[in-house]
Amino acid sequence: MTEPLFDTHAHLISDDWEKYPPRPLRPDMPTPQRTPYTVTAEMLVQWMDEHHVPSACVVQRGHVYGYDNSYILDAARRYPDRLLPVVILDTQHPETPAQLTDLVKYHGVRGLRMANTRPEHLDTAWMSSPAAMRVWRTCADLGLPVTIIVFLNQLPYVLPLLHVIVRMFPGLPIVVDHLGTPYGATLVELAWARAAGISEAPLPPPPDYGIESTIGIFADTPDVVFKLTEVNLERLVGTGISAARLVRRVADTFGAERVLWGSDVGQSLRWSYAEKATMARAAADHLEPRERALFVHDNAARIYATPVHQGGTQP
Amino acid sequence: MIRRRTFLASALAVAGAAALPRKGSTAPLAPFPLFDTHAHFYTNQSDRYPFNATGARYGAERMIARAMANPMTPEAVFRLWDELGVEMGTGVQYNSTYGTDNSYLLDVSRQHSSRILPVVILPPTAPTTPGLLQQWARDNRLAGVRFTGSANDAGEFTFLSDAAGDAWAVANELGLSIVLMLLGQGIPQGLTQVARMAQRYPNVAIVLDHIAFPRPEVLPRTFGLTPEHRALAGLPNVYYKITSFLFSEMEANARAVGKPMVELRPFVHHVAELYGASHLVWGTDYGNVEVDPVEYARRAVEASEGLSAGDRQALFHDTARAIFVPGGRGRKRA
Repeated sequence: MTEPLFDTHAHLISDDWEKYPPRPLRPDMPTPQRTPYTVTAEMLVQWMDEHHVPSACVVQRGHVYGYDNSYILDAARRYPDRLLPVVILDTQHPETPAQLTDLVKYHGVRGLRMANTRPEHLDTAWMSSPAAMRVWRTCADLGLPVTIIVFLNQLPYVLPLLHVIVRMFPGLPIVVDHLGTPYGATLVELAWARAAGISEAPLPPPPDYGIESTIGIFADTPDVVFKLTEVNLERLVGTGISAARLVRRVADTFGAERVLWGSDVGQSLRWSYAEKATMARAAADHLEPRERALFVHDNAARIYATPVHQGGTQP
Repeated sequence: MIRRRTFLASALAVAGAAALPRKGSTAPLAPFPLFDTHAHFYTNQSDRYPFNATGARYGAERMIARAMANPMTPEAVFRLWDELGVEMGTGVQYNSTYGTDNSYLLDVSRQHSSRILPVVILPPTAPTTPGLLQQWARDNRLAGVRFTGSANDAGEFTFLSDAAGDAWAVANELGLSIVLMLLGQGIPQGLTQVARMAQRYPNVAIVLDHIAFPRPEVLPRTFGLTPEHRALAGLPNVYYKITSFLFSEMEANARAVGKPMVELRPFVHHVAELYGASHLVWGTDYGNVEVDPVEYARRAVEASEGLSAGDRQALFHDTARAIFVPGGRGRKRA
């Protein structure tokens, strides 16, 4: 039996566009197109079964469904022991803290994702306005893990700002999506940068991989962990650098308890779920057995407190 | 989860201690009377009250041997209560000895009506359950009903599902308490169902046994409380039971992973701050725990030091008196 994986980053897209219509993240943005593919809860759970993935976070696809988290909530209701919903909400809305508390209380939400809408939006209100700070406070009060995605062009100022915020909420688990280094640039933002005439900087070489000048500032904040996804693997392809080397470096820099894996299924389309699972395990090849287990499963299980949260026996 | 190896070594010694509270110290634990929300009653008169121990926590054979040697008669429980300074308490039906046959509990609470209020166990979805709750509220001073178990394959706790709606509706009508012991892996998801039931049945005081098993060794920063535990804060009709069993479980869980036991005083202060001391109750779980009941009660009282006198009295007495009322609290006043 292969080792179990915990997929911390799976996106779902329903095949029922009437029930779950696309919605924009902001009223000034166009309604998103329907995607030409779907990843239903049933499909994901089947893949999870096939590749020994007991648990997955289902992360809201903001650029498809906006702030309407209905589909991931419905999916988690159908598979409560397998799927953990991670919602995206409007951090600027005054009702969001109360809405988030209700989602945790009544609907089994297990995490919040913060995301800026576009690389060209350079303001930081989405993560640090007074309204957004109230959302952070709510997450801290609940002990609700926060995941955050930072665009490549914004790493130099968003990461230090995140560092300030992290230190305000000790104990709150925070997951930086796609590692938070230059190896985490998504195809969308690379396309935007090309269109905007911004030349692509070369990927920082080993042994540092650009860690020191980006997420290196989180060395002293153990509640911040880093998520390796297919986005990173896409950047690595063609460089000749193995993901296992990068993961080894992250583990050496921060400790193996601070790195975890997510497939990015439902958004990253280059590889099948089978390939993603194989690549996740291969990315652990330079880790010791105990470290491997942490990276591919146990860190996520700890942060989302799922398979280990068991109480009592027979009455 | 009970870790058998942790108690097997000391089980006999502790069971002896449990049956015979130490004599000598006559000073009560606290400067106010206590209300024990969690005492189990069973007798070794098995011809009159036959055992149904198929669901026993420690196995049927062992459970029956234990009950025969150390029956939890009112006399035995009152010896402990007198030593601790417990004024009265709820007798909690013990699934391990009798399943859903509540005869012994109802008999002893009738015979000792000034000290024992019954909290029965009934099958949550049985068509007879609502009628029995009404009957016992009327005739037997019923204070509450207890539902326990783990989630089914679909992740649902039967006693929190629509199928149990009739029982909940009767409890809501009468103002009975519903004591819940959620077990197994689905506790966080189960708590979201608890929240929905609390909203739907606002006149039911929901009491979560053992605070639904926080795991401080897993989530040290939040004293083991998941986001689902924490999100319940603010629901007016949900209460949280601190017990000797919870302490012994947290101890065993910490030991199993080689971590120190969470400090009880910060733990109790944390839950008091989160939920409000007026939403906490306390119980010995006497008759079930295999730890020294006096020592663990003392730990609970000591852990509450530093809370205001009013808060401590609420935790150890007043809230329990207010929510466990013979026959139910009646309809909610608008």
